[in-house]
Amino acid sequence: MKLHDPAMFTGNAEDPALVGQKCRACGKVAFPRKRVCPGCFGESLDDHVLSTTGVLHTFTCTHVGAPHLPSPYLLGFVDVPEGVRLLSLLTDCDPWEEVLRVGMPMEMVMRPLMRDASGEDLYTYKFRPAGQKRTNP
Amino acid sequence: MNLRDVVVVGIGETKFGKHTGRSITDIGAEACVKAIKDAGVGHRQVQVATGGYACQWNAPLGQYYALPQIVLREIGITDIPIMRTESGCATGSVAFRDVWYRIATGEYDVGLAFGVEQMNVADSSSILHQISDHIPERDGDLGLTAAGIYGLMAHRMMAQNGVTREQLARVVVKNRRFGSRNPLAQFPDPVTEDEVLNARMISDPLTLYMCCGRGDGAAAAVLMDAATARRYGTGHVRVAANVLTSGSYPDDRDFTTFDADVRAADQAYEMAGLGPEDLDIAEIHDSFAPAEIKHYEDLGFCERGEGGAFLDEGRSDMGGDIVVNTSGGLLSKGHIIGATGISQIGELVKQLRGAAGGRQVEGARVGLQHNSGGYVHTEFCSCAINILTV
Repeated sequence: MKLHDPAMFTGNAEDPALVGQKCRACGKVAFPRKRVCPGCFGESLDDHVLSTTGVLHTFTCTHVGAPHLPSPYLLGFVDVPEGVRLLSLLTDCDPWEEVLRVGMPMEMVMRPLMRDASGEDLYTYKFRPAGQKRTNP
Repeated sequence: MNLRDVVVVGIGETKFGKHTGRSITDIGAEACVKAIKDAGVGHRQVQVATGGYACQWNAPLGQYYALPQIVLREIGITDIPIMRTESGCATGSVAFRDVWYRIATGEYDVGLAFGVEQMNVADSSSILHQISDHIPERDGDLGLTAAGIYGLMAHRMMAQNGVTREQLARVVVKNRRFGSRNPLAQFPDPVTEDEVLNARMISDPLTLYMCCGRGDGAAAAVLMDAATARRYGTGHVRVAANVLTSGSYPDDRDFTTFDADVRAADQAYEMAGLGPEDLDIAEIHDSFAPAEIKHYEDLGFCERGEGGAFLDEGRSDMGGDIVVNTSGGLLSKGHIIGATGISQIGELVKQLRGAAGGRQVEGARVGLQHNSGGYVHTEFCSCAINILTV
């Protein structure tokens, strides 16, 4: 699985996890990893793997959007328990008008986002309603 | 720090719309000439100038070199310090602040601020690419658009505060009605609630008319310290507060409010010694319909969660508590990135002079201007607020 942005992930190639950082001094979690802790400017930072579950803060269905994504597509903010709000494409939730609800539990999956110059799929994280079956590519 | 009183002595704007047959230099120069004539000052009296534009929309380089100096050379303003600002959609307001600050601190007595943009030279997909790939979260690659940001906001407002699609449409109806009375607006026709609701979907629940258009244009203002201004022009408008701040980008705040807007408004009211109850008019950043409802709450026009009701009760319409976006707002004028902030100030100046024609708010004496710029993660990068008084 070729990753869209390897800097966001850790773990083995077939089962990557989102990774941020946790500051040893102040405990702030940040994502993606940064040069210093944006809370206290500390430099003692440990990798901090983010949960694969979270809560849907809000969502939208974009009909006129980024040219590399087939429209319409669904976007949401998903709050993971580590205190990070992730912008995420949403998947496996047709019909979205009936399925998606603010505050519902979500789970992470790895899906293709776009292709590189050689035509190979680049994967990133997406979220779907918890327990939903795979219906989208 | 002791700051001097600064007043706006002259304003000038081009029509907002398509100016594809002209250079950006000429568009900028038109607004500057108008502002200088309006101020009744000689162009050689201008001691300092700042020009803002966000982007060179038609070229991969993305920037013009020394555009403000080149614009001002066209109208004979040379031999003075000239700066350029860029702060996304708040670019014009930051140019205005730069000149305000240099005069308020006593460095100069007479200054010119302008903002210009020429966006019709580019297509929409190249504009999307301009916005994305320096953001660590890769928002652009993940499909976030400007309308997407407000689609996210609108769904949270609907779930949290009971805001309706109809209320979003009524923001547009109000602002387009005002815009039909502003000869400089790009979209001169009023629209009905049904037309707005039935227009093409852009990012649910936002239809086309709930999204500002783009375009070409410029706006300029001449500023002076109050003592110098007594020798020039008429209809001076005092800058009672000028505030600029940046986002805090929280992970845990409800996506119906922006911390930067709340902080900037608090600072502006304190600086002016005024509160939202003192405002007669406001020009606020209605780039997308839900933004206006959010701003009512963040700027203290009403209680939190009451933005939809504030609109429905007519409190932001003619005859209401604070008449909002009498220019027609970005929804009628189009959002001409670099020009928008100073254009908003221009509308307040016209209103406070009693010169706003068919959209005049009778007896307007205090106005607030609000301009958001740039976006990353969960918040705007810049928030600029001016409070103007007569």
